[in-house]
Amino acid sequence: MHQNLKRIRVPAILSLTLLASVGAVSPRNTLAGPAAPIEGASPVVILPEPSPHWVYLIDHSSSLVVTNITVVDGDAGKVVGTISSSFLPNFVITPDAHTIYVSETYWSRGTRGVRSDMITAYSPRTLVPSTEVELPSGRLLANGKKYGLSLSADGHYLFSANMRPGTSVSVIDLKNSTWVTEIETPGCFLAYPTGVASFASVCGNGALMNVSISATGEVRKAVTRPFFNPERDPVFDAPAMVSGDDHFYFVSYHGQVWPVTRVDGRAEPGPSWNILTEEERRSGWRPGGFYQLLAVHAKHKRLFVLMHQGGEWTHKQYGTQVWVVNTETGRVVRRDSLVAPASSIAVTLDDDALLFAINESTLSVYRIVGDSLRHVRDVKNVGASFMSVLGEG
Amino acid sequence: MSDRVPALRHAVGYLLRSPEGRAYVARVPGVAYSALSNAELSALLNWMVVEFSAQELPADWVPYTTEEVAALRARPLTEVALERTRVLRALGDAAVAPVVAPVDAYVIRTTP
Repeated sequence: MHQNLKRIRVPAILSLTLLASVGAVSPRNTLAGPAAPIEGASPVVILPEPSPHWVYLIDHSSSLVVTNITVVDGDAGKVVGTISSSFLPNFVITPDAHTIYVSETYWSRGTRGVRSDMITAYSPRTLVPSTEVELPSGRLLANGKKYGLSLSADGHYLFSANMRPGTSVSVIDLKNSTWVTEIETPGCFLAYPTGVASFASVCGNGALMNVSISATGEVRKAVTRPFFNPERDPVFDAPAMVSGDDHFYFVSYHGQVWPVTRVDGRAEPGPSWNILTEEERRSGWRPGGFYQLLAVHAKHKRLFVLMHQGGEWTHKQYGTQVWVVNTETGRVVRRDSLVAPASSIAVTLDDDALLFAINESTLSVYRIVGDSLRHVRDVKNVGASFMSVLGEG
Repeated sequence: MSDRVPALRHAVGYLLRSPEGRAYVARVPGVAYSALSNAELSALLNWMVVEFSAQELPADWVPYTTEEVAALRARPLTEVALERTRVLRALGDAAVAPVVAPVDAYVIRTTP
């Protein structure tokens, strides 16, 4: 299936036309009747509309140079397709599941030669690339920085983070398929979507920089008050956020939850709380994971946090439990053990939600029943960093 | 934006030849967002400019005070390339000015 998906479908009528155009060489091919199949060509499998229970994984298990984005159907427990992408790609899926935008980097001779960076649009139905937009400022090459790429709420702009070494964000106009500009975000990093034409970056002093683009194309920047202390209790740089929700959530190394409100294209940090009891803290419980240790189900008002027992500086240790937090009361309502320690999690946004937890190469699928996790199946050999489901952002 | 880190050696002292340049050095995010206290940060800046760029310092240079650094870092720069260009242009030495994006690069074209 992998091979088939990569081939471009040639409809019968088109192949006839192509053959007709070389009629002088092979006139018999222009005769009426069914076109003879072209040797080596095979039709692309057209996937059904993406399901809320599909998960898209950055899968670098085979090679960093050719990193796959693997699509897994959580209900069937099967890989439904693969995008064969570039060196350390990043991706976002439009909330309407119309397009997957992948930021890619290729060298003309594979691992050397002329570097080119681009945003490539892929169809979720064929996983075949269509439009490309060149990124003249390059892009951040880092594994698992999910918010190195994000989509504005109206789908007009794509924001792609740079670090060369000053931090900035490239702005891509998706309506006109053009790179527009590069916005400097000094001392601040990544691009969290905050509205129609705006994003926020997290800064080295514990603040957020809000960047917005006005209707006349003017860029405005404002830095919030510092809300977390980067020395004493830093936050993980991948918050949990879903499209259309006014709130998203950072979590700190020591279990402090920092809700952020998206209002008028700005991100405003709100009052925080801690999810650990004194006893849990003493016994070493803390959030941790390698890429994406948080997920949120906006409708059910639940935040999911990967947790483990470890000492200081074990924030990248895989999580052995998922703690479920009620985002309205701030209380931990459930602590469930995973069948295998996980580096990242994702939660689908539908009512009958699934939680995906990825180990080194095995994806575990859980049903969320009430607030508890019921392990339903494993999907093997999908080595992944972070995952996305429909409706994130 | 340039693809390089501006040099400190035989360079940073040059910026301190104007009040705007002196402010720039304390307002640039790597300095302003430092985890150091105001006292520590001013001590580090004072050591740094002498250690790396004493020759370029103005003759009447006086060390940063803790209060001065506190006030400057409270207004971190959000347009570093632009401010650096302004400072260097005002100092009048085009040879030192780095190649940076022109001012109008920060204004996004409106879409038709």
